[in-house]
Amino acid sequence: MNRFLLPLLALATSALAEGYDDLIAASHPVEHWTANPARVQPLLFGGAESVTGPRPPEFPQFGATNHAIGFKTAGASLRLADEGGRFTFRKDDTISIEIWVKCDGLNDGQNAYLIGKGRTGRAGQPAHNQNWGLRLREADGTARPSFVFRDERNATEGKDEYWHRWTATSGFLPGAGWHHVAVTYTFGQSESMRGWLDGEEIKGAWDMGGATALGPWADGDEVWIGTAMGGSAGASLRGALDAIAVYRSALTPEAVKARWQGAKPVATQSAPLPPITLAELPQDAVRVEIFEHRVSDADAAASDWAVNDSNKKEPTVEVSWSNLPPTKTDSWNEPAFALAELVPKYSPRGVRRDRTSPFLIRLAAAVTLPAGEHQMLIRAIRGGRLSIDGRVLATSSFYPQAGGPQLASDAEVVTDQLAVQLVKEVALLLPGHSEATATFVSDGRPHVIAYDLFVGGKNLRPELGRPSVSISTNGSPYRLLTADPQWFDFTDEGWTHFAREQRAHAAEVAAARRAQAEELAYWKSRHDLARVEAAKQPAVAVPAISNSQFSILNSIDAFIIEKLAKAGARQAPLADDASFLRRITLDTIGLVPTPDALTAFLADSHPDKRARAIDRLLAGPGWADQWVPYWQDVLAENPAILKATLNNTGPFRFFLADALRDNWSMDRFVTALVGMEGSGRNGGSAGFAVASQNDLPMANKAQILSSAFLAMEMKCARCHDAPNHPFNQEDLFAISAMLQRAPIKVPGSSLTQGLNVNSHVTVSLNPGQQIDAHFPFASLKTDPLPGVLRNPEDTREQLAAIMTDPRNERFAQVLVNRLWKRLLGFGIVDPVDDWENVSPSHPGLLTWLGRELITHDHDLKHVARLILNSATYQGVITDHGSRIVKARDRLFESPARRRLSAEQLVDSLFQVAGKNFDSEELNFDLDARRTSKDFLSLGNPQRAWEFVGLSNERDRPSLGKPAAQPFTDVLAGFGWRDSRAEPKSTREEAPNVLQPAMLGNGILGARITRLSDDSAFTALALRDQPLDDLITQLFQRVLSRTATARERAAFLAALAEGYADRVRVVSSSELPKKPRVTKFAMWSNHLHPDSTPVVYERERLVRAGDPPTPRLAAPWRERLEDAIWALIITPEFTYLP
Amino acid sequence: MNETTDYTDNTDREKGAGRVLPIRVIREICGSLPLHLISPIPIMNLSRRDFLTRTALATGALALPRFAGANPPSAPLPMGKAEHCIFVWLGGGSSQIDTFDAKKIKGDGKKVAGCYYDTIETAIPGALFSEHLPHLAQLGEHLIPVRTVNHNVIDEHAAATNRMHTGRLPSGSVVYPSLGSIVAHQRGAALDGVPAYVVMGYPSATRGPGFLGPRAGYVYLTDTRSGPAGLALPPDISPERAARRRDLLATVREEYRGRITDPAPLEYDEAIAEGFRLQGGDFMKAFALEQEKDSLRAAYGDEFGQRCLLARRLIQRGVRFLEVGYNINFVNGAGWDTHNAAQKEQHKLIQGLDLSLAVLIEDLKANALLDKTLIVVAGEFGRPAQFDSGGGRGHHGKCFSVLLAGGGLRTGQCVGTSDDLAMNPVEDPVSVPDLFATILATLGVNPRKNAMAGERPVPLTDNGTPVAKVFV
Repeated sequence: MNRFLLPLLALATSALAEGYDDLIAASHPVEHWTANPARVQPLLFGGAESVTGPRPPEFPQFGATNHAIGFKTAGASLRLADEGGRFTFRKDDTISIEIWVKCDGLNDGQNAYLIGKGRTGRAGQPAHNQNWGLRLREADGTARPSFVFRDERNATEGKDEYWHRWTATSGFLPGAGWHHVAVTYTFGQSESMRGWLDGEEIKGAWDMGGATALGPWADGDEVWIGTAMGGSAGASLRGALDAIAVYRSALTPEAVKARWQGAKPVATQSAPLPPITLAELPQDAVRVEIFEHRVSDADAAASDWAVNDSNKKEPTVEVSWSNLPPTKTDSWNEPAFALAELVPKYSPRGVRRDRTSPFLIRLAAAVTLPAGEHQMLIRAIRGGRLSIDGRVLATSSFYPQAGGPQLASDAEVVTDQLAVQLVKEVALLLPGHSEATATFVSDGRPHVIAYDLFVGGKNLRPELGRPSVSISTNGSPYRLLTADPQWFDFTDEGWTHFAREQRAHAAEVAAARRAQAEELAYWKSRHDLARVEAAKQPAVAVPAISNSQFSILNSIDAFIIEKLAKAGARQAPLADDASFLRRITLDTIGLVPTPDALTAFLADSHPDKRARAIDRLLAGPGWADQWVPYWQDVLAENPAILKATLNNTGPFRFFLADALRDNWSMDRFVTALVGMEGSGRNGGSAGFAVASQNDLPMANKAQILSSAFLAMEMKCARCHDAPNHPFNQEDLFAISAMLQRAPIKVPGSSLTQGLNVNSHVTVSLNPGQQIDAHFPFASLKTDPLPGVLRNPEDTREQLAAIMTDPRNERFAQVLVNRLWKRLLGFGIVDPVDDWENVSPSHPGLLTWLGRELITHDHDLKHVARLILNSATYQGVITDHGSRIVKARDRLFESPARRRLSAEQLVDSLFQVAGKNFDSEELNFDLDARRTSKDFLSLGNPQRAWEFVGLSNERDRPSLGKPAAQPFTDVLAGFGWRDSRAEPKSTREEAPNVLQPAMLGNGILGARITRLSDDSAFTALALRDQPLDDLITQLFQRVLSRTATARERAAFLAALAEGYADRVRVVSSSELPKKPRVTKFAMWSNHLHPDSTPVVYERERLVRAGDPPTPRLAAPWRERLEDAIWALIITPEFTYLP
Repeated sequence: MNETTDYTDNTDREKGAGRVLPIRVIREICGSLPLHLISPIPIMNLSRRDFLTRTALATGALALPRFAGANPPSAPLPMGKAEHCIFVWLGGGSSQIDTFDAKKIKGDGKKVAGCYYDTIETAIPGALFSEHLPHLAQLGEHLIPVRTVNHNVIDEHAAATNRMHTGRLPSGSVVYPSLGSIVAHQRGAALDGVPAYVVMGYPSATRGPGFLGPRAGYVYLTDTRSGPAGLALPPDISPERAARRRDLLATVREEYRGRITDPAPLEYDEAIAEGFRLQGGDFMKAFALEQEKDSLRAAYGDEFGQRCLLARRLIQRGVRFLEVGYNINFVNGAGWDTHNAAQKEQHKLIQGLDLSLAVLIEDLKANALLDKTLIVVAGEFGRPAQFDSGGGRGHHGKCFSVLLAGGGLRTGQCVGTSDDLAMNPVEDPVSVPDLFATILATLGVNPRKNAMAGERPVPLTDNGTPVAKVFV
């Protein structure tokens, strides 16, 4: 083993190396050690061995074959007795130590021994007898020289006050080559402490036990190099040492400088990230790059689209600056050195994937800062590192607190974030984030600034947090660092502004990532094929209508009128423009129209203005917001933000939102859903695959898919043969096996037990019976068209292909019927999810609409456009049209009256008031200290569909979400479900007493009516205009119409008193500020006694409501609030016109 | 309300929790309730006679084997005649051996398993309580500790909570209703104009109506001071403003009604009117706890006690089912989930439960409501006799206690016997479906009856059979 014995080595200590030895000798050491085998061999322990030392050309002061002593395993060391007390120091003695060190890595907070006397842990020695020692201490990712001793009181108890530790405030990056470390100290004279790194003097502080006038512990214990404490891993250096010397005199700065003379270290020796050059960076933007660990070839390959990331094991890689993820997997530009949202990783099919954990984000830009001194502030949730031109300026800790107690009842303390943040006047430091500051003196020239940060880590939820670099010049307020003159204040408001812009930008980049040419080409070929197949089907004749008393806007009306005429029924007249716009806006983007949109529409005199309004609304992103909640219901999207249990799924809402934003064709949508691809916990369709605590998740999914897209309700078949449907349990299990990609063994728990002989249901399967994957219904074509299957062996793809096959028109018809019901109130076939035993009201129309979908790229918006442009949709709502009759007798004289959905109601209320939700983050793991298995963050909702059940089954006040609760209360009151364990196609809409009461008395309604400074109504009220005009605007804003004479009179009467004197002049500094919440309750501290009061305080603030504006005289303000109240409580607000 | 005493301030808990009031004193306080607050409870309707008939049969069936499985499904079911239920929820899972199934074997909080406290005798033959339940021990004549409830979900609170609220394993195809929703659905409110089901605790799906739909849902509150979410008039709305609001609304509503012909918005309009009636009606007056005598409010104790008092007041106004959460987690950090150090302060929770529940029982009795009101005290599971490394207790579902009280049952007896450490049933195990069947039968609801989940019949309990011996 011992390479010290190699003859070559003997040569190494010859003349070439003597130059450096001479330097040491000139300072008169007590002793010094190199890899000279003759001298150190007897002293080696535990596998210390010879390795390559510092050598030319980087270190010309050493010989070309210089060796060092390597320490690879814990306990590897040099050990020697303190003969004659050479290494024993007392008060007023001076000690100097110098060492060349290469450190391969340090654990978080580790103290690795370079050299020390005492604290060896040898038998008979006291545990704390640290005579002296020089260590490397990990802090913020850097290795910092740290001198330590225990004082002469020789206390055997482990109190900090007996320790004295001086640690440098800067250090070097572990893993980045050779460094020279030196210290000098005269015991008893704390000011005498000096340290050097690479020849330069470094600052430091007595950071444990404080400075002392006492001398050191002095005994006869051994001197150990490379470890201490019995050779424990925590005390052991991983790396190599060379030219170690101990002196009984002070080293001079000149002498130390001379040691490093001529050194040209390679800075990025083991940092795998490529260096950045000014030329490669974008102009006026910050480049974002993502680096991942071990992205396997299979993962990266385009063919591997079906991988389910949630099946992978939890990551096992610790975050570490010495283990940087080497593979660049994405890059784009952003406006600033900060991120509110990341562009997700997408599969080639446009489905969200998980990145490996941890992964690294590198923000870089060419920045020209004015000459002079700049203060920089960095923040990140998992360690950030700021460098300029490759030189590290600052790093922040991976974890702001120590590991923390693991026992539930030993909760972490509740921190006042404002109290701990380094700079008070900036945006609040959010829980779990660490920060650091640095000073940069600019020469006024462009420099490469790079900010690296980690996301995720071993058993840690991959949380981006709010990474940022902000800068202050000459004491100016901090702003986010940018590469161009664009400006974002680094305040809470500034961040909100920045985050809105950056999110929108990230969403654009994400959309581009999803629009992969190959995928789009594939679907184009599928749709071409569909048109060919549709042409082979018998054509559907549109009825010819000659009766001129009906209004026909398009073919849909012809089908409807044909039946109306036969029944002798009347068609409702077209709704007026204002009603039309309100109805269409709600039906397309889920909101009431803005007053501006209403005014513009009413003023528009083009004859085709309705069609153009329809096109404009359909083109916007609101379509997704209107449809995500529908599919959440139908597909039973049921995530839990705390320990998923009861039939919970992953949050595949993000998949839904992506697909709907892009308006994916419905066959692509369903194929990606059935594929259950990508991330299970972070928004891929794989989240649909999950059904926690379910003995057969795929049976559950088969049932959901068949009712959603084939209107085959197989719910009963889950446990027994369906008594009222032609489905056997075996049919459902066969589809389940297709989803499982394997035969299914029937679990006994899935079979109804104890049925008696008279039962009208039967169980035809046996426990343990094996059901093979196949599609059981012969009524559908089960042999996909040529070229459709990309992986013919995959039974999931087969199932998706069968369902979406253009020859199987059922799929298209089910979808257009669902759309029809959403827009008209009743389905052509109703119920929409179960077509057994019901006949369509208009079979021809159903076929025709389905054919339209098939021949128009499966684009649901195309069919929506047809329906919205029909007179049938645009008619005035009548009692006839709203009446519940048998499906086959339905005439669609008019659309049926529909109530706003829970989501539409909440979104519209906030649109009307012009306010933001200001909900808490839907997340219990704010500090990102837990696994993604147990915790999810669903973010800060901007639209109502983003809410989720608040998971306080534990009934703990400290787990309350008082700002989100009023939303989920109102949503649930109007039919939204806080748990979607089962699919639902039609919500119950019967009114109940709680609905108006909750709006009228609850916290949410109070926020809408309260005239705070952020209310659109306040702005309206401050306008200098006659009261009559205000009332007009009020009605337009809330009810999208003008007031009737009677209403106008009533509102005038109520608002006249005090109107003239309503405005109070108030300086902006007098405006009330929203209270700043600086303490947060979360999972890690929720059992701490201080945590419940934090939630109670927040609840109190929420109950108090938005602070009223002082700009309106209170008595009149209350009058207007009462007027607004009346307009949102009236049924008119809650029902579509 | 007395200006100087805030009964809901939990700093009072320290004073209240350890207090021992002689039952005699409690009775005096409860018995001197002003007469006008004792409102009549409705007479049973016709269908109740039906139940009476069957109950008579069930009395004869007492000689039959008493427990689940042994009772053939065709046998007549025993039926009780309780009108209301107060379901006290000990979220987190209370320790049976430290409460209602105390054992002489004393643990040391470390290696030695056993009861954490001394035991005391009770007025029930064969039943030992822990020393921190002195009041309830004396009220044994009104209690039935069911000591052998068991299920197999212990790894996760939410799942076990669901089990102890729905009585079932979750299913992917049907969301089962909670006990409160079943009762609300089957029996409705006892008086018009009040909700049938009220939760004092955080809303959750597990407490919800499942397939029974929103009408079997609940009204909830998390704080007795602020009243139920959405029903209490906001404090900043003066009567003058309320009137102005109603006037303006009336105009807009009328104009709208004049324009439409279809029924749905009219129903909503009617719901608005009903809301005003509810708000001004008797139900909301229940929340004016300050109407009660100070001595009674003080006797009830902290926020949990005030919830119990509110429960009594709501029952008097016709609420059928009340779930009263008792999990104030800053008393001991973790509520009843007494892992590790939370065990050390557990006695405070137990003492609070003891005192408030004792006062509730006496107060119900003084108001002639105890026989008509079933009290159930349950959590999601129990806890083992062993201690974890932090000196607390983990989860244990194989055998734990649920306390029944009042309800016109044959109280003063135990159901089930556990082993020396209250870890396994020795005699008469009671499954969760049997427990649910017992509760439903006590409330006059046939546990075998089907409710419709769409077109699908689902029995109210999962084949549960009432424990016959508790019925009179």
